Amino acid sequence: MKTVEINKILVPVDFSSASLGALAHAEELAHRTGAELHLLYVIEPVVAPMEFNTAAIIEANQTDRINTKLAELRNTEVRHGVKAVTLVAEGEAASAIIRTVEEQDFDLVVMGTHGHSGFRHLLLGSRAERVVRGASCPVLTVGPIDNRDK
Amino acid sequence: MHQVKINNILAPVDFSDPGIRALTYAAQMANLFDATVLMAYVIEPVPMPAELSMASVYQPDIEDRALERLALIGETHFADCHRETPIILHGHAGTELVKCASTQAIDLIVLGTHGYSGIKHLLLGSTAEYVVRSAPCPVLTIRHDE
Repeated sequence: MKTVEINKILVPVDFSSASLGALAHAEELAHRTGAELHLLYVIEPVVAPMEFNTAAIIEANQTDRINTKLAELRNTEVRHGVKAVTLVAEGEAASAIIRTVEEQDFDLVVMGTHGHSGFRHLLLGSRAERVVRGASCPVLTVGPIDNRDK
Repeated sequence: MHQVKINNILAPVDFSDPGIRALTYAAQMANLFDATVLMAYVIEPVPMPAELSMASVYQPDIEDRALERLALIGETHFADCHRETPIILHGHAGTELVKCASTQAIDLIVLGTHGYSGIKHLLLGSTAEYVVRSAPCPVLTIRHDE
């Protein structure tokens, strides 16, 4: 019987309940496969008026803060014995995730799906759907925890 | 921490290449979680001109042949997995699979899809998209590039 290799798992997190559900699944899979878990946060560009030249400072602080939160998340949600690293990328979320998968050769993406809001979803498609469509590896989509525990 | 339990896996089969490739992942997940696999084949209604009322003649045959092929796939792809008896569903594939996931207490759907974008995407990727959006459980989507 054929098998598939799952050595590297990417889990994009934004600290929402949807991404925590995804992280729980990714962690369990990493635990069972022995794969390496990569927690990714994507900093999306914020359009700011030109006169605010503090953007660079804000960004530096933001990256520090995010790295701290990612490390906390790893400590609380990933058990010992599961190898986990944290990553920060910049750009539009879905594109950044797809790019990371390609550049770093991931075998699986595990990501949360947020509640969809009519129009926006129809016009733009959700992030998760864009990743499912665009990523070069399989994608496991996980709904918000409270939606599933009925 | 949130408890992750995967006891029942739904493996939709459509006998296409992407579908077959996804079965390898379904088997792997079943083995990792010691889960039971349920294979499902959806027969979608085909619009036919009224004068060619062959539908009623062919339908039972389609179902029998699908069950035979599902049994064969079970033997080749899920030889060492716990398996439920495969089922045949009738209707719109996305809707039926999502409904099935609810009624059968499915914890994971493993689905193959085409990697098309643009117009082809609209035509062919719609089942996967519907299932990803509407499933009551996590969905593992395996894209197949031509």
